[in-house]
Amino acid sequence: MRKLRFVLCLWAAGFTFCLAQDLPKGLKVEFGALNAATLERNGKTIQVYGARDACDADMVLMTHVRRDLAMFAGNAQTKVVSPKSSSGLLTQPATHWEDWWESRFNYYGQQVTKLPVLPLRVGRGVEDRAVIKWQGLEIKVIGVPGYTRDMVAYVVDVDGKRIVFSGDLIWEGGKVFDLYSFQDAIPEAKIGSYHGYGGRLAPWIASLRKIANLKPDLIIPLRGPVLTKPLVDLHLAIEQARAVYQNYLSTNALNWYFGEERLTIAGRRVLGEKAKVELMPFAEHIELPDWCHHLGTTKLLVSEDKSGFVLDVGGKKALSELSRLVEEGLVSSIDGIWVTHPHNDHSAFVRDAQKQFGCPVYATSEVADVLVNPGNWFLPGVSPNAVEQVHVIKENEKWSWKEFELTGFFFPGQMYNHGALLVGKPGEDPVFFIGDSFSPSGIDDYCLMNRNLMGDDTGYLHCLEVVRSMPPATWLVNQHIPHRFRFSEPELNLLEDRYRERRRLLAELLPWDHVDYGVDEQWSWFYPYGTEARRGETVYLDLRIRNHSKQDRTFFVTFHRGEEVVGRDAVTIKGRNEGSATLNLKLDTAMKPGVHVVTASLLSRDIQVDHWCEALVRVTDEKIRSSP
Amino acid sequence: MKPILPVFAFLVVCFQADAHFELYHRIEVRIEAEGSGWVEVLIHETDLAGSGIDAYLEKNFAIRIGNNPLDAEPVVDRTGTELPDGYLSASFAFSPQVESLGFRLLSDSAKRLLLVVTRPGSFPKTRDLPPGDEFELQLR
Repeated sequence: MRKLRFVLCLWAAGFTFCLAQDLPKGLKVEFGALNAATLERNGKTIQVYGARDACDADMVLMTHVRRDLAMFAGNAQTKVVSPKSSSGLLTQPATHWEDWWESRFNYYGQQVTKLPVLPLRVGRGVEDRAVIKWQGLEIKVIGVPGYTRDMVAYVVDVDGKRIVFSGDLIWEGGKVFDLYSFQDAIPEAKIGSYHGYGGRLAPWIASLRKIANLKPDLIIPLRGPVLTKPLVDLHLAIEQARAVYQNYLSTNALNWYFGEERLTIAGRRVLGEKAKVELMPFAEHIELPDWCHHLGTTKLLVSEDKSGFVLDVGGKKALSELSRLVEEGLVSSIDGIWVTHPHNDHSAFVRDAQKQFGCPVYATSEVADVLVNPGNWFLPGVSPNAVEQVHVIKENEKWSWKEFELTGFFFPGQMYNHGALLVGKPGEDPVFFIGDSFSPSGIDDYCLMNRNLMGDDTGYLHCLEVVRSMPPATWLVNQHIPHRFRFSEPELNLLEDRYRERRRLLAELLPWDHVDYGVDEQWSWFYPYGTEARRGETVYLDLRIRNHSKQDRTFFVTFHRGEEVVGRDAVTIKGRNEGSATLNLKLDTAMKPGVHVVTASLLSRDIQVDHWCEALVRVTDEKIRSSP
Repeated sequence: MKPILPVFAFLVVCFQADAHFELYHRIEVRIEAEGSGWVEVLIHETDLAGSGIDAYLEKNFAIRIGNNPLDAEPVVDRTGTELPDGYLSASFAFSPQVESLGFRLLSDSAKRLLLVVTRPGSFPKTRDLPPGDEFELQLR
């Protein structure tokens, strides 16, 4: 396979133009963070994707509705043609953001949040098989869902060449910009969005085939170079994505819950009708020890003197059950609550449980802040029920509770903000409570918005290292499963080898210098994500950046409120480390009450992403609530 | 006296599902002090797939109350419950005369079953049944 080197943008070299011999007469492409194509005919022009500045084009063609593209299209200040299915997001983005202030909590839709913030005038909403007639040309609209739900491509024959404007459908070299955008439900396998890793790979492959069947001469993507050998790239993209998905299924935790049939259905959508879907056999599993009780997603540890220690309280039923057990004297007291991770099915009733039982709540620092300040984070399924106080447990910190020894660990498995608790009881095999990070059939990495980082130094590779470091004969316990289980050495080797192989395969599919940029939507994110303030006040926003690259990077950050630039900052961050840029935003006294969206554009070597991540600032005349 | 008392089944459907509750089918058996009790089937909205509760039960379980298959029509009620978002619940009562309950998860069911049994003065007991497995619960 040919080794391809990609450049995310060509900003550093200034805007360059595709070689004239590659493009038909009347078509010009201006490369940048986003490419701008201009079709010229009879003295009239159409812009495809957008423009750097206002122009007198008859229209601008948008392939899909994402924030950076919408801003780019808006620059042209002309009539917009965009996918009909998402026109509402373009014309009335404020409605979405007002609603999002509340609906961002308990969110399991797992769709990318890079949505428009400024309204555009949509001249025409188009869908599959529409035709735009212009200056004697027929521009055909082809529905190409996959990377987004709404994407269309525009196909036009110019000067004897068939040109496809493909948006973010594909990059040169059979690559795609990221994997997290493909997260979606898989209805055929009854898998919801949250569990739908690569859920839109199947329609994406169908879209690539649709484009291949058109036999294009050139594909002009939204980002990156022109594809001058489209059929080669389209075929390669399918093969590379299939290899990733096959690998993903082979060590999948969902096999335990959903079984071979459903995962085979999911697999064959992507891999082909007769594909063999390999799944890891279940690891050794037995009943829980008699001192550990399973209550929904809560585990209750009971000591010899009937004291109780709880892991997670996510459901009202679990809290009621704990209350009953205390009332009936089966448990004399609840002495503490350990929270494995902040998903609401593990955390939503921790606040109430803490109040009811008057006990401390324990968590690692990565979990604790989400529990105390849920509105500051945007992650899947975060409950707005803020916990008043959390005792932060340091890495490898040990403490005694009754006859048990407890040890806390950072455990970035199912999600990055995740911990695990090793529980030792004299004379018994240790039990390692790993939250939702493994099942007897493998790895819980089905939701990329959980931030499953793939470097050697974090994510599942770190978790596997921690598991290997456990005392001999340690059992693992998942919060959902009323069993304990453990992986044999060959099974651990298989999990690790396959994961490393996935990383290698993803490096073929993704254009970044480290795959984590392509699997981690939140490699840069605002803290706080949501904040409330009154007019005239200043809000302080950190843009936290994880430099996934191995080398140091300087990030130049521009902060925006709508089109207005409201701040700039720069930060140099060591490779595989985090840093932050800061915005002090003074709220104008004339600002309207409501949700305002602040965005950040980032520039670094070979990286330029515009309006990439957002923070919500809710301007209010009311008294500021202490918690969202 | 018919041993099955379809006192009520209640239905609450919210629009945002929780992360992981849908991983399992869930049935809870709550046994009261005098021996009567409830079989509560918790159903994730996506599992209904447009069909009714009866169709869901028939497709996934063979539930026996005493010697009789569960054949009662659940009564649907939209009252508040302790259910997580995205769930509905169908509950069936059984009388103190019932000696046992049988639960079989049909082999072509799409996921495992968590069967939780709660009795006064006891910790809840949870069983994890893969498709094709069954469990007989003695009530006395």
